[in-house]
Amino acid sequence: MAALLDIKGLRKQFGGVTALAGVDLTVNEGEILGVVGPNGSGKTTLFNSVTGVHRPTAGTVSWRGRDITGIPANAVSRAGIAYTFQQAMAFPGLSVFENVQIATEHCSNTLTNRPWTTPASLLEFVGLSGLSGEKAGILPFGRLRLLGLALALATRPSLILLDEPAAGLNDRETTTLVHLVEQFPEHGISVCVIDHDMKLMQMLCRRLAVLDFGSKIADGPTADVLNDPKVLEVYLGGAL
Amino acid sequence: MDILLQQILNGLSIASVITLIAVGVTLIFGLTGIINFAHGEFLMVGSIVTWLAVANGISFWLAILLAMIVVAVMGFALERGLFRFTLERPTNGFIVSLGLIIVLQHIVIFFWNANQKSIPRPLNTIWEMGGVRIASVRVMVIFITAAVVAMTFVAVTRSRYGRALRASVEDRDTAALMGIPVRRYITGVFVLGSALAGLGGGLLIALFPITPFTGGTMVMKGFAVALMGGLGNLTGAVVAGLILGIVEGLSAGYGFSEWTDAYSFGLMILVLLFRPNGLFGGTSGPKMA
Repeated sequence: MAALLDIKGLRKQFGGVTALAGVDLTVNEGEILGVVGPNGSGKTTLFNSVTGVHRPTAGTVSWRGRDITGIPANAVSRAGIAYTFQQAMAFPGLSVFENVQIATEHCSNTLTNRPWTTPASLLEFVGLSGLSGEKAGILPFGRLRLLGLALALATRPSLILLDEPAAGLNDRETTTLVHLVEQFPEHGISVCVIDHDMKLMQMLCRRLAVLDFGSKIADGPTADVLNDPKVLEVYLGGAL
Repeated sequence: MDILLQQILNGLSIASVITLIAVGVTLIFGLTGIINFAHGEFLMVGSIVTWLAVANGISFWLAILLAMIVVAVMGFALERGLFRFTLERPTNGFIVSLGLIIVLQHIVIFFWNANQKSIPRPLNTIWEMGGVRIASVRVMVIFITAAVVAMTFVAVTRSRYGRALRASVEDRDTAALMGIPVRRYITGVFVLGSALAGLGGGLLIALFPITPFTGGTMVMKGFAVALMGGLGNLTGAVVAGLILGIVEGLSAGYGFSEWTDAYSFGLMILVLLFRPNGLFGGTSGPKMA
């Protein structure tokens, strides 16, 4: 498997606070990688530093062998990396259809063919066809999450970064989400997902990386990582 | 009734110019959070360009086109040279705009003194209809504004650029993640807003004589209209402009002409008391990370 995204020695400092203390992480083509870690371990900062929301203090990010460290968010999107925020991500004052339309219109990468090229086909994939005329602001949270997923897919990415995609969702909504995300690799979309929900991570990911205080403390097959004493100690408080 | 119609028409023609300012103010605020109080000076520069062009024998129509272009270029330069550096802190942009008021006024006074300036009316016809005297120049101002505002409206609601603009107003970060070059849209909005102010200036000097200080009163009303409609909301600005025109016309028509300004600002205060986000709901500016 070829490395799609290769992060080396990534550091991010906010004033005196070190959020990321030099993290190495690779996302391979066609995989669903999970990143776990306690609150404040730097998971979201990691995504923000890759996608141009923050500028990393040090380290490099390469994308298919090209250095993309610190490039602005719209260029990251154009390169083929999509990102869904922890908060539901959508334009509340615009209709559901317009939301997806904007994302498809401004995607200028033609890297790969995707089964969903029109707003309608995307909405059908995530199961929101019936709501396309509604304002996004009135959608319940679970639906808004699915819309966020549609927006991310609309940019025709080769990699999607999901920040706590299941936070605030009930079991049924989570199952729907897992079912959708599982299909991404077969359509040529790799996934990197952050979440606390171990059940979700076990369902989705074959490989897990664990962050603690801004450093990576484990990386490997999900089962091995979950049995790693260091991980149990730090992440699960040794209680498993 | 006759007098009333005439006064409403008068009110609407002034309100047209104010609406052109309000649209610029509201679009710039929506995207950047900057309240550009120098927008009135942009309008005044538009009037001066029109005045200079007409004085040099250029036709009025060409002159307002020139005013739009000159002010648009000025807006571009100011965004690239000044406002760009205040995007992280819109309050700084607001303060910069206050400084710009003085700078722009005094540049104009330095070169062309502080006296009143006027141009011959581009249209002199006055229509008499059953005792109502309608100055064609006022009708022209209303029609040009209506056409330009309608075009802006269609562009913002129907085109892909308009959709991207509205998306950026709602959430700059998410818009950027969708591949929208938000910075370029910010420049674009400054250029568009400035061009509209330039047009407003050209139309204003066709109605009344102006001075280098005219911008101040106009921007106050433009801002009031933008607030009444809901800052950042284009529809709101247009509807509030229309309301302002009718209210000003009515108050003048019923013999309270010296109270016209009090009515418009009183109306603004009332609207904001009952609907703090304006008639159509505005944004509170971009979220600052």
